[in-house]
Amino acid sequence: MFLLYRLLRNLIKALASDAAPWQLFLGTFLGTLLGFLPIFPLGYGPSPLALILIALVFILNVHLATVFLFLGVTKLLTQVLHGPALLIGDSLHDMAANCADIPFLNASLWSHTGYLGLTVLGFCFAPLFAILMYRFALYFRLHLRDKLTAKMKAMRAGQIIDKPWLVRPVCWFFGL
Amino acid sequence: MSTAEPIVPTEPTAKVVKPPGFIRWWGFIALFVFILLVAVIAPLVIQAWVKRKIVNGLASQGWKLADPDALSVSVFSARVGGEALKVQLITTGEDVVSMDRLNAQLALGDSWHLNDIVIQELAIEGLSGSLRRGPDGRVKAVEPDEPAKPDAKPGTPIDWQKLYQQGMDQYQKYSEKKKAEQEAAKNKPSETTKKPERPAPEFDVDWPKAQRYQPIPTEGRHIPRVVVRRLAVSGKGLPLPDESVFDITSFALEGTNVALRQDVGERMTLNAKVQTKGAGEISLAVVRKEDDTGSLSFQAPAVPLSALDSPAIGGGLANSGLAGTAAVVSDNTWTGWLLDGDLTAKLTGLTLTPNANTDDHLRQAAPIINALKGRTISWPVKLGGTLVKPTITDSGLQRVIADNQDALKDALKEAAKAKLEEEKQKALKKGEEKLNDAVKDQIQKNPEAQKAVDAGKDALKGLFGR
Repeated sequence: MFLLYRLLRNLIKALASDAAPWQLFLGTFLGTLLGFLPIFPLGYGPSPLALILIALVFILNVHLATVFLFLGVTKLLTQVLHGPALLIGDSLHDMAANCADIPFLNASLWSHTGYLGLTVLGFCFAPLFAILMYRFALYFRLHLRDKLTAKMKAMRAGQIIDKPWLVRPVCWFFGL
Repeated sequence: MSTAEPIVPTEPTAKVVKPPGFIRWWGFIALFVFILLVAVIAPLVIQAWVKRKIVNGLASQGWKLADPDALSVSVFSARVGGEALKVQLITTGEDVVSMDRLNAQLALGDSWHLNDIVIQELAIEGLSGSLRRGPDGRVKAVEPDEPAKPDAKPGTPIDWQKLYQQGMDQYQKYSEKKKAEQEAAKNKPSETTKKPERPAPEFDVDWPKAQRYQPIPTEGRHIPRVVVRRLAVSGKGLPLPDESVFDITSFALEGTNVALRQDVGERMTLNAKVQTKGAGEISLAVVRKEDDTGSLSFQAPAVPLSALDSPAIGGGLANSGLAGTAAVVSDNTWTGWLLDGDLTAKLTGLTLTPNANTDDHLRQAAPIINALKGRTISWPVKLGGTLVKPTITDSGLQRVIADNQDALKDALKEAAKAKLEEEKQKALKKGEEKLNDAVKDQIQKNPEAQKAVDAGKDALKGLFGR
């Protein structure tokens, strides 16, 4: 939990940091994808697609904290999405069968109806989360951060502001 | 998509931050270092593991490597090699096999693609060893842990037919299985035009109801096989279990696509040239195709027939005092199991010197064969039957008789003359014995004649003083 908290704090700090929005976008995208994709399931060995994505995480200048946060969160999310993933995988059984004949995809477990379902979910959620993250980062930096900074300065100057009990922890949390 | 600036300064004095680059260079370097570390560690770990596998494999046969360091395993070039390799018996430390150079190169791409073990090249130079039977009857090199065979003393005939039969039984089993698969495919005409069937998906024990589909197997087979794309083995010597002129002094074996189970459209070739101690060079060429057809050529231009005098080699021809040389050429083809072949033997200087242990038939044939006075005989034999049980469909005797009519006539005349002379001598001897008996009988019956004989004996005694 502490690790998750640290990750979350790092992420939110990232919103106020020098990280460019595209770095957050890509970090969210790759982290979500890695969370949904099988990386090294026991009994099957490493997934080549996941290994390539991990290599990309380190080579591309994405925001690492975002990657790890979304990876952790979505890994937890997949535990409750086994049912829907299986439904999706079963409906795509022809695709799973065809993927079995392509060694790369077979090794990446696209021939497994359960993991294929999760992978499809990953490819749906990853751009969605990435766009949301991108939009939120921009909103925070353009609108929220200046307001919070101004309120914090006013508080330090002894002025009375609305909801000080909220502004103080929020500023602490965002590292302002 | 918004094109807002990535960094919005909060104060006019805030410093302008340089936009981040697309590549994280430290990550790139870290990944490179990681791969480099793997590249350094992998040989130490995986190569040691492969080497241990090889050593354990040898140990399971009762063998060991004299110098394990002489064997090198390279993971990245998928190669097993070595120089001056010696395989010894664990128990006694005796050499089993030694080789000057070994190079086994795995075709990683093909192996991955075909789901087989594809060896691109298997080259062995300077291979030597011994298959010689020990005093206890065992061939130590191949059966180190077998109990002693007191009934298999040196000189015990090698049952080549049994060995051939064992090999063919294995091949027949495989072939019948393959034929059954082909028959099954024929019985389903609607499916023959389609791809081979996909195996049933496997269920995941950790994820109930989820299933994993399996790849469609390559047409014609379902189990990974071992195939050697290029085989080149040369050797210095290989004594056979029993000493004979056929002991191998050097050999060279070359082959392409060598495999027990062939893939669709694959053509296997195997050529061997063997130098023997006293039987000259023997060559063998085999071509095998996936459609169960093939050819086998065999040439032995100078086989000394005296070699067949040994019970270990000649079997029924042993102890006949065979002499001369034979140039043997055999060309055979097969389709399915049916064999069609020719075996021509040119026998030069053939003579027989039978003794008490010689087979009766050979003893009878000896005078005729010897009467040919070693002239060259061409003996064509037609082979047929099946690969499992080859038979002689035409012994070629008519041809031999036709080609050597005059010589055989003379030989038969000589034999008949000799027989007549023998009979004459026998009859004369018999007549003489009968005459002697009759004279003795008459003397005993007639007292006058008996007295005359006694008088004659006395006279002779007096003459010689006895």
